[in-house]
Amino acid sequence: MATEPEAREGQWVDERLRVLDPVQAHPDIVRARARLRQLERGGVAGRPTVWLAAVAALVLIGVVLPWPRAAAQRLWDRWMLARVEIVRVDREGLPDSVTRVFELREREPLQFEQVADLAQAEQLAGFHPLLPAQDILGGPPVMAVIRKVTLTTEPLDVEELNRALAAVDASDIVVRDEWNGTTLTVEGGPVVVAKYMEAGVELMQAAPLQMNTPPGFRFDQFMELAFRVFGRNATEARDLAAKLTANPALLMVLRPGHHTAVREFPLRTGSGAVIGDPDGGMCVFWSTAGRLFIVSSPKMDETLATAVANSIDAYAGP
Amino acid sequence: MSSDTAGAAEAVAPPHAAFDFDSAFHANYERISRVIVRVLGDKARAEDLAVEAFWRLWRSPSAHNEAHGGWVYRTAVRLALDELRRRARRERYERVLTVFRGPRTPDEAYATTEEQRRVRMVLAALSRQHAVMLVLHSDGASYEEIAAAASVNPSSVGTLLARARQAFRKEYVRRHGDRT
Repeated sequence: MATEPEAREGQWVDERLRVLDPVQAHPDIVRARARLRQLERGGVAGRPTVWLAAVAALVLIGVVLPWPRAAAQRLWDRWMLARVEIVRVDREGLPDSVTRVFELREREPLQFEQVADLAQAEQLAGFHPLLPAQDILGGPPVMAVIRKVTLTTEPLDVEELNRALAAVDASDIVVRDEWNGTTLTVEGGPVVVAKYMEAGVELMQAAPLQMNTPPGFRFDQFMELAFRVFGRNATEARDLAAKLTANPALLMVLRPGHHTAVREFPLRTGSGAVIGDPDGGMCVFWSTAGRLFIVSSPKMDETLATAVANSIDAYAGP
Repeated sequence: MSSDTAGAAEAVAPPHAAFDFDSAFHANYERISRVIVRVLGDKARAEDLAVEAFWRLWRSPSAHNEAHGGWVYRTAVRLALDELRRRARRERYERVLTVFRGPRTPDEAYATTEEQRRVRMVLAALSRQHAVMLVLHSDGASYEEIAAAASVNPSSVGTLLARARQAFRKEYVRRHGDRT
């Protein structure tokens, strides 16, 4: 029998949880059964949405800026050595209409082509997918190929951006009028997805993506603008944008108070980054010449994560 | 065995001949989908995960028995909570570059009120057992169903549920204040 305080507490909690009551939902049972039938024949469930945008973002800078191929191949070195300390920003309160112009989203749903095995994945992808040794994650994995990925931002709205800049006292930054309506588009693929169902680990690998911008688009100015909008001061924003121009790199942007652990780890061909979370789970990513790898799992620890990366890296080129 | 030869077709086990997978699917799919929506607030993703839960059932002959309903219920809630935690992490990572966020479905974009977000963040922070029990209870599951899904003794469900509520309230108040 619950005591009175327990009963009150129960009522309080139940009231909170009641906000999760789903609105009347009618799941598409026919479509679900059809997908299950595909899986029964050997396919991939779900959508690997979490880190796909990260791949695009990684390549975003690499493609836009004029840099030699050798530098491109060292992208990860540079990012991890120079940027692991993380850019912290305070973007609380920014309207979606502003943040959307800096976010890449799928233009249309990803189209998975389920494949029976590695050979078929290679045939569709046009490159030989690398997988970790079987004793690491179990397996074999369930695989699929996404032939094409197109991600776009919302069109830039000069007035909206000016308002956002004014809100953070960044009126010294002028948003170029010719940017109005510009969208940034990233295209790429194929992406090979391998899901290790028992281990709960997902591996994605992709050839580099390409970004399309209008002729003459000043990406360095765009990045400076972005950093200002997200709360960095003038000096920091200019410095970060300049560093990106001189030394292309991937940045992680974290809000204050977040304690996500980002560490570098050595690989035979260079180094990778592991992003861990205090609640468990992590994501590991690294690149080799012409290939990007992302491994993520809600229950992977760092030992397993690095073992996976090293196992794949052992088969990568020199 | 070399790593890059490890991608042969997955050896999946079809259901036991006596197990009527289709009936199990039709009897449970809507409920399973609904409980995942409760956790995630994202109908499209919920349908993905519901399919995954049933796929796991299909591949798990040991679950092909009368208790399959509880098995798939538990699997679905765990998948949903794992996804919720991933999302909570993703929010902390704050994406790469200038908040390049993952694609959001229209359902996800519209379904999340501020209070729902708070409650989900708290659920994501609780232990899995506490979160599972609270989700199942709020979904209307009986004590017997909760016991089966959470792998606990039915007689201890009341006590464990009280602890789960206590943990929820403590975490909620820590993050968001009392709001009574």
